[in-house]
Amino acid sequence: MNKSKYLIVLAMVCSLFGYAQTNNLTSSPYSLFGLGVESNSNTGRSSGLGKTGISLDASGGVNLYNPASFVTLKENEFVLDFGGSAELIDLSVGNLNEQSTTTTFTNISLGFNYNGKYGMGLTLKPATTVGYSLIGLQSNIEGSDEEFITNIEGSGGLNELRLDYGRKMNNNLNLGIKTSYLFGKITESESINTSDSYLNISEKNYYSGFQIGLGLQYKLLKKHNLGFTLDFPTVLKGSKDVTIGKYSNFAYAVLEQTTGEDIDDFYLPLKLGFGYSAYFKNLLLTADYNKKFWSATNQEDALGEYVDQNIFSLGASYTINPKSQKYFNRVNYRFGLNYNTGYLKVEDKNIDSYAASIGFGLPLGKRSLINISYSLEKKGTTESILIEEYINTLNINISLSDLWFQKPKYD
Amino acid sequence: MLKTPFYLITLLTVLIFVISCSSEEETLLAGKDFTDTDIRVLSIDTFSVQLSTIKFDSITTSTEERLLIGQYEDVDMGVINTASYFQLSPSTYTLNNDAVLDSVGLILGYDTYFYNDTTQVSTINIHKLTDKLRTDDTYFYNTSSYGYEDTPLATETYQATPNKDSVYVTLPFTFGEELFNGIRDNNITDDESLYQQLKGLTVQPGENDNSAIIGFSTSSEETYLRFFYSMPDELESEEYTYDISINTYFNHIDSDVSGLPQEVLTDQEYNLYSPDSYNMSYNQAGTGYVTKIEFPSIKNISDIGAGGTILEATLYIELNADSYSDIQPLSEELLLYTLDQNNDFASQVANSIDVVTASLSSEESEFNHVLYNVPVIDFIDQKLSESPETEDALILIPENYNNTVNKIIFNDSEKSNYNTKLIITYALYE
Repeated sequence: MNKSKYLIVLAMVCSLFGYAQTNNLTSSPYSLFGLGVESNSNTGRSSGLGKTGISLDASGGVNLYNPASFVTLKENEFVLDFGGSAELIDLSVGNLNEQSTTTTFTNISLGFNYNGKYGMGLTLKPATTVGYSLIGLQSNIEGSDEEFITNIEGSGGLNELRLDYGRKMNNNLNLGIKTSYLFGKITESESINTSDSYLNISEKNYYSGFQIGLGLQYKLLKKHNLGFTLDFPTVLKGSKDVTIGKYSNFAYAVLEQTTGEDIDDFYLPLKLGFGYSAYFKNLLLTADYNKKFWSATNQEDALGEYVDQNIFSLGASYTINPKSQKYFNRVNYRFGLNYNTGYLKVEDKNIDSYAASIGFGLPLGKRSLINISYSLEKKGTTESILIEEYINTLNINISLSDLWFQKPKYD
Repeated sequence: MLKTPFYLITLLTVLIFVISCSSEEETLLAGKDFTDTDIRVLSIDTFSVQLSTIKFDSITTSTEERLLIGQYEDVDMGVINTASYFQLSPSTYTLNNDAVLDSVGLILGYDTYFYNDTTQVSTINIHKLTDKLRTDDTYFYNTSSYGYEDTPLATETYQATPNKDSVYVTLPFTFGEELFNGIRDNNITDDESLYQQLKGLTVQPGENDNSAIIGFSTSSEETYLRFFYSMPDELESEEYTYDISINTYFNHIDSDVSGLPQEVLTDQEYNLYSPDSYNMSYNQAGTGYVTKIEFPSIKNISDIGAGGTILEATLYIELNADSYSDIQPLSEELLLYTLDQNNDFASQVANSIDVVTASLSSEESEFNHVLYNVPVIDFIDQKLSESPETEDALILIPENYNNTVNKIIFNDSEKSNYNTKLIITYALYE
């Protein structure tokens, strides 16, 4: 009975995911660069904890920050974790500003634990998102007093289909491995408009590739949790379809149409992550440090260069009494800070971001949980040509748990 | 254990879905510097425009349902002379045996077309044809020629009133009686026996006329040979009519260009370049003059850079200020055709939506010069992509080129002080 309900929810979530894929998932002009901005998608409690999670277990829902954590799902538990987020972005350039909102689906994960020996998970989530439209850029028609208007729009992004496996080595050590298949389409459409005609260049860039990552979690002196992750560098192969057409003298004509044209591969860098967390009674303190070695990929973007990216994050959570009869005493309160140097340097400025987050873990029944978080992030700067963004993100994530593998003879 | 949460979750999922459907706004702030776009757009007016006049050897004039009759002298185009030739037949060959002819006349019904001065008196000479109207193909041409009797059957002077009804020309009684009695007495019983009596008529303008070219209808309702007759045996003397109407016709149109630059155009393949005709070029419906337009340097456009395309291409042509007036009106629209290297029609210029038309500019240029705006992008794109390369050139033709005599005179770039020019908007996108 419960399983069929799961399936209904699953079907609804899948259809939602399918719909979300056709939509732009962000509206940040910074998504012009590379393969878009890193997706804000999070599972479990991490979004409220400043995006820390390398050393955390799966008690607050599926933890995608470290594959080793899958073995820490409760014994014989089956988890369905899915969520969505809404972003309100406030953009400023110089003293101009505007706002945009987007809503997006963030993830769907299925995870289970088998007898506490190993845990596995299958996740589908956006990895990067692209969504920008630069409208009404005016330029002079050389040799005349007239102007033409350029409109540029981009959408799409990469998705990640990911399989995690975590295994218990001994009481203190868990190891994990993940395999990700990254795939997706990034569409850019550029049109230039004169008074009576336009030229439109539409590019669809397809990328795909695999990435493998390792994870380790170690419990030191029953109190200190250490975590380590390593994502190997990889290459995303790309191809593009291009259609160029023009509208002149009231008629549209296709000038060029190519499909499957090779484009430069995109290199994802080596990523190292370190995490530490410790419980002080009901207070959890956690810290992560991640480094992505972008400069070793030797990639360039039209406007900026790729530089090594450092991400520092801190988090704290507190529950009054997890075993209390009172609901509000069981609520998990969270707070986090995050500083991300970004991987792009434009005119000697790093496009970095600062974020602060608060969150709640609301118990649902005995095993399930709703995770809600709000974060405010400041990204970029208004200096020179750059854009400053204030990103308000509301994240809602539901983690449903049930016992599936329990059999009477093992009781 | 999931009972309560299940409904909550369903609700939440639906809620997320609804939110997902909300549209997002567009970003307007990020500037051009933010993008890597390097598209350039250029406006170029340096491609030369070469005009020349050619003359079609012949054009068909037997299908456009108009008789063109008249003569006038044009300063630039010479003496224009149009005459109609037609063959007639009745709808039935029966007349009452007692019928007696009273009179006969030719009624020419105006069809409202005229060109030049209708206030001047014109002459109509009606002659009997001595040759039968025969043709090897199905058409007759402006150059077709058939013999007719030297002495006209009738001559009429009139002042044309094209918006009124018709012109009536009385024909000799003996001419009418021969036909009338032939039909009444069953000597003329079909078209063949009628043609033996009357091969046809031609309506010629007066030799010294300098007035207008007038259009008359070819329909049996408007233009016909009418016999007025009565029946003497009847008590009441009533007047009856019997009509013979046109079944085959054409207009002979020519012009005497002696002493004018067009004099050299005796062959369709000859090009009279504008510098050899006072920096002007000519178009005249009916007689077959047309301006051939070429852009000799247009293929150099690829030198601007690879990965470019023309977004707009407009040819502006200035009209000679003395070449139009209220009585010599201009066509609002012209159709674009191409000519091959022998100056024969190649094709009509069209794009995926419609045929391409040039239009009379609504704004007048400096010094009240009137211009035609000719969208030539489809022609130029075709030229740039053609393989093998051809000598195809552009011409502009009014819709009623075969049944009018309207002229259009272009000033070339030099004479127009470069009002006649080609302006190209070119996009470089790679």
